[in-house]
Amino acid sequence: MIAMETILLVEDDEMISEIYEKKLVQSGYSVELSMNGEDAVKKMQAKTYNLVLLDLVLPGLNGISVLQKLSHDGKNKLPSPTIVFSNLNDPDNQEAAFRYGASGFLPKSQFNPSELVQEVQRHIRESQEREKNDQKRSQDNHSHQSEMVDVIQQKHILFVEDEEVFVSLFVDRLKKEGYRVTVAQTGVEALDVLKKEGVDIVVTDVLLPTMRGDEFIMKIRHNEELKSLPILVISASATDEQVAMINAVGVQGFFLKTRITPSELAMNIKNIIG
Amino acid sequence: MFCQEIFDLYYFIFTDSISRLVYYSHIPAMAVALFAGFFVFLKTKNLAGKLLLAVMVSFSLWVSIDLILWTSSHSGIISFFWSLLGLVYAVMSLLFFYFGYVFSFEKDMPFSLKMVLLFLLLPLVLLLPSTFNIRGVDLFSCESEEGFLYTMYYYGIGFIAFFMTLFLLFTYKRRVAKENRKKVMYVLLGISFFLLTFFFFGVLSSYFYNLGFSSTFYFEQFGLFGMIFFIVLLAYLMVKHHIFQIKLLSAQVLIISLAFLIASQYFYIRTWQNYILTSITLILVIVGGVILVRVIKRDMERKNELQIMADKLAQANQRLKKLDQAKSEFISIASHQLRTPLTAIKGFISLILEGSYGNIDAPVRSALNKVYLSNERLIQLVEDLLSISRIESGRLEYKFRYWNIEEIVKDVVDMFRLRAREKGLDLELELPEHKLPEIYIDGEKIREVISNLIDNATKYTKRGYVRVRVEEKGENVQIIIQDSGIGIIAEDIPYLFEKFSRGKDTNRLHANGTGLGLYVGKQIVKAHKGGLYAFSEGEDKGSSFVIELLIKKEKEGEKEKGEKEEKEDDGEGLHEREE
Repeated sequence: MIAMETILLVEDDEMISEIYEKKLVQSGYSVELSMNGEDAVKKMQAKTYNLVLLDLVLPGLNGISVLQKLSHDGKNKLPSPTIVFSNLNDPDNQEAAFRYGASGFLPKSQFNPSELVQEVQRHIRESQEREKNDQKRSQDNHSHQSEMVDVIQQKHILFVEDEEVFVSLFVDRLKKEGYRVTVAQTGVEALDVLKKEGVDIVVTDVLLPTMRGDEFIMKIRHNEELKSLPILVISASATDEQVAMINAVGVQGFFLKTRITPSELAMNIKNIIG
Repeated sequence: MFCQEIFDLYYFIFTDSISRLVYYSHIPAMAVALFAGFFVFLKTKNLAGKLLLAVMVSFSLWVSIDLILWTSSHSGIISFFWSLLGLVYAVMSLLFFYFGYVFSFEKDMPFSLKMVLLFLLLPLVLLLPSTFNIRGVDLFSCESEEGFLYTMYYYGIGFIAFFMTLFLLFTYKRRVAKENRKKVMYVLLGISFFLLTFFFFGVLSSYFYNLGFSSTFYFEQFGLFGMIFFIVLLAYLMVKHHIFQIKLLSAQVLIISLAFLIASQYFYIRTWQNYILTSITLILVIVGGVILVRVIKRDMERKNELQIMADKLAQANQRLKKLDQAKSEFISIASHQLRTPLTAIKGFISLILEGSYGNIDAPVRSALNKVYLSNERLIQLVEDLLSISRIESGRLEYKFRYWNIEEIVKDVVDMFRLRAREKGLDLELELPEHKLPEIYIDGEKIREVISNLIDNATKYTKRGYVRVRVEEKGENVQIIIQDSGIGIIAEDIPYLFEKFSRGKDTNRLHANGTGLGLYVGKQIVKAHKGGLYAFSEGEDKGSSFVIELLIKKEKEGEKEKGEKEEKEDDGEGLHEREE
């Protein structure tokens, strides 16, 4: 398990910060509190957080000023990814927040705590990915050789999907992660690939032309050699019966396509096959 | 018996000295025919009605003449009435055919055909007073000696009428709309049968008499039963095919027979007091009867209208149900299709925001963030639509087990504390003093319902409070969510739990509801055999929502039961209560 992600919560209302803190801790984050602008600036300069949740209305230095100070009027990047969480959601405030480097703006009244946690998760992941992308770009500038990852050690993903747009969306992202990806458009084609090549994980859709995804999964699970192959299912729409059947057979994950981003899928794959 | 011997006649035709069958065959046939003729005439007033009346009048005329001939022994009377007999018979036969024609095709006969029929009658009229018609009267038997040719001629006309009706009977199908065919067939069948029997027995009796086999025209009266048969058919059509309103008919028959019964007292009343009394009774019965008949008539007309409207409504309802089904299917399919582009939008925006395609400027980031969040809302909307179509088609699966309802409520309320605080609302939670037993529910779905209600309460309340109360009430647990918000207009309450309905004026408020929450909530609670109710004293007077769930004591076999009942639930009918 990686170190706990830490969130700095800048909020002057004790009751609200208590509720936030509780919810975030419940969701597995470590939370630090800051009650005013000056303290927040100090904390952010001293330490890097995975995410900062910043209220705009604060005693003394207000939220916008905090951002302004930390980003030196928007010239520098903020020390930690920050999202503004406030009721002052007029366009001027929003524009200022983004100008000074905020990566998100959430109107408080429109997000209940669970939705907030989702947004926090998204932004943390987003900033991590952004970090990675930035690093990669600077590496690319320094040496082109790093492109040559050891081909033999590359993990192999079989991606079963017939929709072109999903192939370009997910597969490109997975390749970027350094995986070798083979795309099969039908279950039959996919079984063919499995017979010929070693595969580390299968990612499959449920609605496929000819052989359906659930049937394809059954075939894998009933094959002596492939029995323990990890499978992730991503589906735009699966009937309850299909979901029940797939779960009964046993897969490593089931995701609704509309609920998962390419990076999240990559992360899930990484957790399983490394 | 000699003809000159005067019978002791009363009321012109009644005598004890002739066969009883004559009365039985003549009088009821005449009465029924006249009644039917007038009844239909008054009811319809169209050409067919008039013709039927004409048929029945001519028939009655014939019957009365015949009756007079049977009973009379005066040679002058006999020869006069006898001479009319043939003409009346011919006119009646042709009129009957005419009626059959008009009834079948619902239009008048062509002029040329009418002329032909009239022309056929001409010789009968011209030769009526001549010896071609009646050669003389047999004073011994009181019967006339008929002219052979004249007799054959008018029976011939009867046969032609029969034959033409038969022709109609074989050819009507081509010209009559399908739904009318049955009654046309019955009517034509009745007419031809009548014409045939009348013709057959008339000719038979004439023939027998003239040949000397029979001393009277005894057989003739059997022809009259053809009329009874026709009337019975007519009555059958009235009942079965609703030619006329039968209920009204029976009321009218009742009133008329009652009037006749009372009137018959005049035959033996001897004192003037009784005359007055009977007259008053008769008048009262007639007046009362007419009023009664009118009332029934109006009632029936209204009922008919209602029936027609009900039929139309039933049809419309059927269509709506089909439409609703089609719509559910459409939503289901469309939603599946929508998910693909939504996923692509979400995925690519997340990649852009993550910097996969290079660094992006703050304004673009701000804009993309909004796009992302809007897309998330769209995704949620699609999911909501799908869960509705699942609920409607009974495909939503419930996972029942025992849950601690207080825990659920507390958890949900905590979720909203933040927003309440931000909006300056008091969010209060009141749990019962004694711990409630665990209840058998699908906790996740009930949590959704409660969450949606508190969500609404905080959305639609600008200042004041939102109070959530859990209490035990008899066999139920009630979860009451009360607020001091914008309230609900009384007329909106019944529509609250329908799909896509929000209170009329709530649009002006900044709320992101899709309008589906309450409908889905109601369906979920109903699947638990519980209730979801809304109360409000009006606009700006706050509102309260009550979820009522059964505390079930049984433990085994509940799951299957619960699921089965959900599938049977047709998702209709709301039960609101007034506060």
